[in-house]
Amino acid sequence: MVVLQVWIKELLVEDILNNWQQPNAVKIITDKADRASQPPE
Amino acid sequence: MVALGKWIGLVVFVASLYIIWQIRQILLLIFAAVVLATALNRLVRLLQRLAIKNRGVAIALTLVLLLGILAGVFVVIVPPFVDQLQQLVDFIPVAFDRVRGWVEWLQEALTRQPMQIDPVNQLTQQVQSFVSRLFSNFFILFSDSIGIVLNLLFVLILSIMLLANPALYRQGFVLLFPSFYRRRADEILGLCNGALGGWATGILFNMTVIALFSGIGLWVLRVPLVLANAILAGLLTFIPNVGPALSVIPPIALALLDAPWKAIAVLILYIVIQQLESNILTPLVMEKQVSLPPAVTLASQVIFASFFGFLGLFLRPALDGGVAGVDQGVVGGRHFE
Repeated sequence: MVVLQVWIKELLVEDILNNWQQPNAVKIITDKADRASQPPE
Repeated sequence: MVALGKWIGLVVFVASLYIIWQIRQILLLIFAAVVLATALNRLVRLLQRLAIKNRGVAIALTLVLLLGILAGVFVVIVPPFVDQLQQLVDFIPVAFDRVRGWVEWLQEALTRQPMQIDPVNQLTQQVQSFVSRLFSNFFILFSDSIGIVLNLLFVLILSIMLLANPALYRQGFVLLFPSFYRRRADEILGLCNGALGGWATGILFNMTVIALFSGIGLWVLRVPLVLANAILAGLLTFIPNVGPALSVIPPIALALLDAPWKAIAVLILYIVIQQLESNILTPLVMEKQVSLPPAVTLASQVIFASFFGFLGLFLRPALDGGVAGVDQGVVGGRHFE
């Protein structure tokens, strides 16, 4: 259940539902991944 | 051409869904293996941090430890548990017969109209056959040795393979996503990893505590077959909402054979333990877990039960955990590299 919840929250809600009307959705998601992959200061 | 491409995509998508549906039972086992690999990988990484630098040796040691624990459980707990569970399955109809006797006596004493007994009779008969069937199925789950052994073997071997080279499988899984989403998928897998780790620790702790508390309580109340009932209560904790309700039926039936007050005492005991678990223990050990609204949880359980049968209820957390397992595995691999 916990893993399903994480996927629903991250993929479905944050990435798909939040961005589905954005023309540059791909860039938004790529930027998000970039930010996440940067090492913490 | 774009339209044609889209149509082909749709057809392939529907075909994939159909194939996944056909192999859903095997997928459940694969997910279970991934979850097991995830849990074992935690142990492997712990060993690597503590003393053993070589991952191969750490994996071997973990497996020896796991097999040792499994062998211990099979030798010490399983024979008396299966024996008591069989007795329990035999006892339940007797208990229901007695309840029906009481109801008939009560009806006769109150109304002297035997006609009114019929609906009560039908109801108790239906409940009795349902409960007997449920617990017989549960018993078959344990006694259908060839199927269980084969499935366990499949899950175990798959877990060892995943454990041996987790990075490979994580990369493979991430490749299933469109290229722009792969790094994000990798990140989500990382989040799942943390969530699954917390959940696994929490559920193991809860199951142990519930089994222990139920055992002590039933022992104090002098209810027969304490071991079987306590282990059953612990195991059924794995199924949220439905599990605890199911686990209270056998001890109540057994207590009814002794005295009606005992059945009420058992019910109160189980309610107290469940309240303790859900209001104090779970928030303590699973504080970081995001929770779904209870209605969603219950509905998803019913859906899973109808898709995969009674076993689906048990493996549902494993299915949910499956993808996380891939993730965890790869974290392990990356850690090692």
